Formats: sequence, structure tokens, C-alpha cells
Amino acid sequence: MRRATALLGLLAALPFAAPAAAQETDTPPKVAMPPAEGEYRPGLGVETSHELGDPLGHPLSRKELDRAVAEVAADIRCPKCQALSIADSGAASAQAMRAEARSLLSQGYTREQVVGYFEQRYGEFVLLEPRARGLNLIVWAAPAGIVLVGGLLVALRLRQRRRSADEGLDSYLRQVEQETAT
Amino acid sequence: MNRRVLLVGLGISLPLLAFLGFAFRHDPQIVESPLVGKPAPNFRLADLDGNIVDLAELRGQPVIVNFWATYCVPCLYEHPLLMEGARRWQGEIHFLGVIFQDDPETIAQFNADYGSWGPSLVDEGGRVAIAYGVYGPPETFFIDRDGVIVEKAIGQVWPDQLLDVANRMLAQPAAATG
Repeated sequence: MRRATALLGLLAALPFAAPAAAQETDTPPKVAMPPAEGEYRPGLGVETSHELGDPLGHPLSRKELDRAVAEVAADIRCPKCQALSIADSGAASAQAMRAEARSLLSQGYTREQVVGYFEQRYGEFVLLEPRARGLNLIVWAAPAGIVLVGGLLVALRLRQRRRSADEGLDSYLRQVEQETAT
Repeated sequence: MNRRVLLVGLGISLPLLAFLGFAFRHDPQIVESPLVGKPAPNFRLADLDGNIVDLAELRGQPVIVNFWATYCVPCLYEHPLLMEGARRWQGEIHFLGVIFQDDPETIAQFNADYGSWGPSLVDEGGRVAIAYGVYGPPETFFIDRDGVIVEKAIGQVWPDQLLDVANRMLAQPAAATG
């Protein structure tokens, strides 16, 4: 209720939020254009090396790089999609993450370092295949457990049925023997 | 036999209910950030006028980093609040906007129309968004005087949340900074 009231207040305030000085003009605002894709200005962005440490592999290029990018991308969940890897998604976020993976792998970071980098940023949710540890073990063990318990129940039921069938036959044979003996 | 069926049913359903009860306490849309409590990834970005903003140089004062875009409706809703926050804590808290997959010209036009609560930084290639693990705008990171992320807001920032976190960050003694 409190949040709904706040939302209504903010919605009402939006048209009045612009300062008096901000008026519509015919001239477009002055903007410093960003560089073309892939031509990042040196020194700008984030210090990936500071976040990741030293590369533990060797710099990849050409086909080797393409293969490594495809492998990493297949394991990383696209943050803007439903159960799609960044390899399968055309979303801008997925493209940016593929480009980041390519950049890191070309600098010599290993596949594990790159996957670990994404996991450190987005959490384990970004991994399409959860790690087999902690509560995740339920996901891994549950199918095998269900099959095992189901198999045991079926085996017990069959055994029970066979025993009752044997008992039924035995009593019938006893009855036949008694009747033929007299 | 009925008692046995009841026991087996309880044995299956109770753990399931406990698991669902645990799971329903969490919003599945919200993924907790592993970055909370850790140092904020440093970045150097240019604003729309080409001025460079270096996060490391702002150490010593709290910083609010908001990833936003003009196509994002909750970003529009929270805009007046951030305007008010930037006015209220001018000189005490730095407000930085990082453009998330939007056209800088559209952002500039929006700022001209509605006003701006802080520099709009151009994140080329979305690398800063990746470093902060941003799923989608708006996401807001509250960074204390020591450069540590103390809280992350997913979606629209609410007035009580902004007030609470801002006051906590401002209450942190300045002497704690390195």
C-alpha cells in the first residue's frame, strides 16, 4: 500500500520533475559521439586485470579463439533471456558478454578464469549447469534417487504379490491333497 | 493399510511443502548480487560531454551508481526521486548514471527535457555493466566511503530505501577511509 502510494506520487511528480531551465529546444543537445564498435578508447571502461588477476593461460587467436569463445558462451546464461545461453541469444547483453569473453580469452585468461569472472559478477545463476555442491546436489541426486526409490517400491510390490500367489497355490494344493486322500 | 498410506503420503508431502515454503520466501525474479559487501569494480568512463569520471577518485564519499536507459519505464519512475536525492545530498553523495544499452543522443535529449541528477556515463561495449553483473535496468549500487558495495537495488529505487541506505552511508565515519 505504502509502495503503491509512493509510485502514484512519483508518477504524478514526473511531468514536474524537469527544472525550469530545461525547456524544449529545436537544436539537438551537444553529444560527444562514442567510438565505433570494438574501438574502445584506451583507459576507459573497467580494469578487468585488476578484477581477474594475471592470465593463467596463453593468448588465443583465430580458430582457437573462436572455439574457446563458443565453449565459454555455451556455459553462460544470457541474463536477459529465458534459459538461453549467450551463445544462443542475440540479445545485446549476450553480445556484450560474448565480446567480453573473446577479449579476455585473447588476453590469455583461461576458460575457467573467464567463466569464474562471470560467476563472480552475476552469481551462480549465470551458469547454465549448476555446480554439484551444497543444495545443488539435490538437483543432481534427485533423478537418481527417484529412480532408485521407485525401483525398490516396484521390487517390493512384485515380491509381495509373488508371495501371496505362492501362499494361495500352497493352500489350494493342500486342499486337493486332503480331498484326494479321503 | 490406510495408516501406512497416510504415513507414506506425509513422508513425501511434508519435505515437499517445507521445500516450497523455503522457496516461496524468495522472489524468483531477484538474483542476489555476489558483489554486495565487496569492493566496487573500478571504472573510468566519459560522460556525454567527454568528461572523464574515475570511480577511484571519488573514494572518501559515498557513491550511488545507477544503470539506466530511456526505454526502461521503472527508470522514468525513479527519475524524480534521484533528482530529489541528488539535490538533497549535493556535495555529500555522488550520483553517477551509467547508460545501459541506449543511444547517448537519446539520453542527452531526455536529460535536456527532464533534467539530470548526475553525469550520464557512456559504457562502451557494456563492460562496466558486466563487471557489475547487471541483468537489466534499472539497477542501483550503493558504494560507501571505502569503495565497498553496501547494497544493490534491483528495479526501481524506492524513497524509503534511498533514504535508509544514504543515511547509513553518510553515518559511516569519514576517518574509516584509507
